[in-house]
Amino acid sequence: MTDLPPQNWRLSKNVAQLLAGAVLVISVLVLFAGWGAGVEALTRLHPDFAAMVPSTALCFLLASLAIVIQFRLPPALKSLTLFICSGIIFAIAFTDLMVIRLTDANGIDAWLWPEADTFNSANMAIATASLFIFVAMCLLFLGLSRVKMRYAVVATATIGLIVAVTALVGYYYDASALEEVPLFRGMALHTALAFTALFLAVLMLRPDTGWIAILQGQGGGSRSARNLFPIVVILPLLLCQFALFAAQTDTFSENFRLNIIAIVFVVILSIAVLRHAHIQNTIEGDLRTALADRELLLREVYHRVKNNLQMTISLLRMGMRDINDKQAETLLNSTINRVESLGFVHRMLLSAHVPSEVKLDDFLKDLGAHIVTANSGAHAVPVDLKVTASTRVLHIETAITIGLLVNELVTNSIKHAFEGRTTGTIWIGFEGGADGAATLSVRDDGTGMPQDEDSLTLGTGTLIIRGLVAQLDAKLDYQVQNGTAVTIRIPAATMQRMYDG
Amino acid sequence: MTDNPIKVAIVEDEFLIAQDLSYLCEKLGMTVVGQAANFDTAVKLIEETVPDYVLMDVRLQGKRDGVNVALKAFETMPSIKIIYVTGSNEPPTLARIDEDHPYAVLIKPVGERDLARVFGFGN
Repeated sequence: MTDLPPQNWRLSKNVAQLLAGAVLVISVLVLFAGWGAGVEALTRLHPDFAAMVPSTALCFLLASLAIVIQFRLPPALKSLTLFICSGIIFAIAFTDLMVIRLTDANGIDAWLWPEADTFNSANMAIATASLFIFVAMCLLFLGLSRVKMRYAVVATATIGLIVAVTALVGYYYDASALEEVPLFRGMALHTALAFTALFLAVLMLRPDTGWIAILQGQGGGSRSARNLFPIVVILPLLLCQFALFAAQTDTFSENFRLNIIAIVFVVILSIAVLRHAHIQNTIEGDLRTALADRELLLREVYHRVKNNLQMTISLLRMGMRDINDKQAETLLNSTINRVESLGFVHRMLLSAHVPSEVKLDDFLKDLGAHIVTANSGAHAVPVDLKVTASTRVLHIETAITIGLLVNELVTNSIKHAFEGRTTGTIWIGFEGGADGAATLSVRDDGTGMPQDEDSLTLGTGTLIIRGLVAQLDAKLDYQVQNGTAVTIRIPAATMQRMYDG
Repeated sequence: MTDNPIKVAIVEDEFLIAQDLSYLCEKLGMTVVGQAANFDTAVKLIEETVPDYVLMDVRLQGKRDGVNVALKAFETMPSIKIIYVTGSNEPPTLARIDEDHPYAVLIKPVGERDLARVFGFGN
């Protein structure tokens, strides 16, 4: 199903009405002027051709009427009309099919119209009755408003169209040959024409579905299909016409004509297949280039972001040169470290395989090591860092948030947990649960409670942690037991949101 | 160290970053012999001052990049140690750097500890 512009809908609707209108005119002429007034030229167009029987004309009348008036009826009435017409047509066709098959009777027409019995084959052809069952199905599906029904409509009408066109082409080449096929025996020329028009009208009622939609589409493929479609239809007909003519004039034998047709079709189909392959290759190539361009652009953006972060850090450090205030210096240093952690995400992104995803374990290992290095002042305790994380990838947004949290928590541990110790260990963990939730944990084996010595930075750190935890809808759990353990449980909904976003 | 300070040249087209790198180098006790933002001034600076180390950005103003500068300097002064400072650690850039024989590669943002580490101060 594709979106069609309004003018295409209008055009299709008009074509459908026109086609159904033509069928309506044919059926009225055959029924009333042909059978009613006895004009034989209307019931059978040529003395050698089969006639359109009254029941056939009646079914055409009902079907075309249902299509023509449905545009002028309110929805509820429209469906009802379609259902009623569908039911009657089905009943007539089914009865006829059963009567022809099961009895020697001359069918419903002999009963309806006794004088019709005077003509030979005065009942519906098997193909005609079968096609009316398809028409009944089309009308039924048209009346059902379910979306899936549009595919049923198009499929049924397409099969009907193919059978009708087969009969039509049969008349075009050799009417007597068609008459020899039991299925089509007794099908009139205007019956085949009317079926073709009727099924086309039904297809035009669903112009946004199936092959009709492709033919009507806006894309380059549809344009090319529209250009080639007349050739596809006319070329095989002309070719067979030529073969028929050549065989009739004894240019070559009937069997050799099959040879010619087979070879020509092989050539034409090969051209079609190879052309399709060529177009697909071109499109794939273009797509690859576009994707590569996009990736390049994205990397360029990350590069710029990182450069800007470096410049921000440079500005902060330049501002620090003239500061003699210990507290202000500490604050600026913390800020520089935070900005560096932000830059870290972009550093990982630039080396990543997919430019918007970060491998979690690598990210946490590198970031953790960086934080430890950044905080290893002259009087700092050497810290052993252990990272356990799954190898899953994180989206950039998640990675930034997790990165900032880890920066604050690990920095806190380094600064406060190992007071008076010679060594310390910090564990960083990130585990995804089976339910989609995730747990970030930062634990140390330090002395426990953080010393509130520089309350300004600690205050900012706490503010950042609380803010980010709230942003993740997460729960923070803080435990002091053989060190400090901070556990942040991120609910599945947040993880999902961050992946989708 | 102060008697015979390490001489560093900085090749970086972004003024603020060049300033920051100068500041950090001086803080570590090295002498910054000059800054350059493009190929020509960089080559001139290196030839005139003969530094021990060059902090080299890969992307510079103009067509030629830091690797061009390094290869040019290597012709006359093969002993100079080139430390690349790059904003991009993506494979093409790193491959480009590998065309030269870098002493070290630093990925921006570069901090004080990173510099101290490559110059062999402290940890």
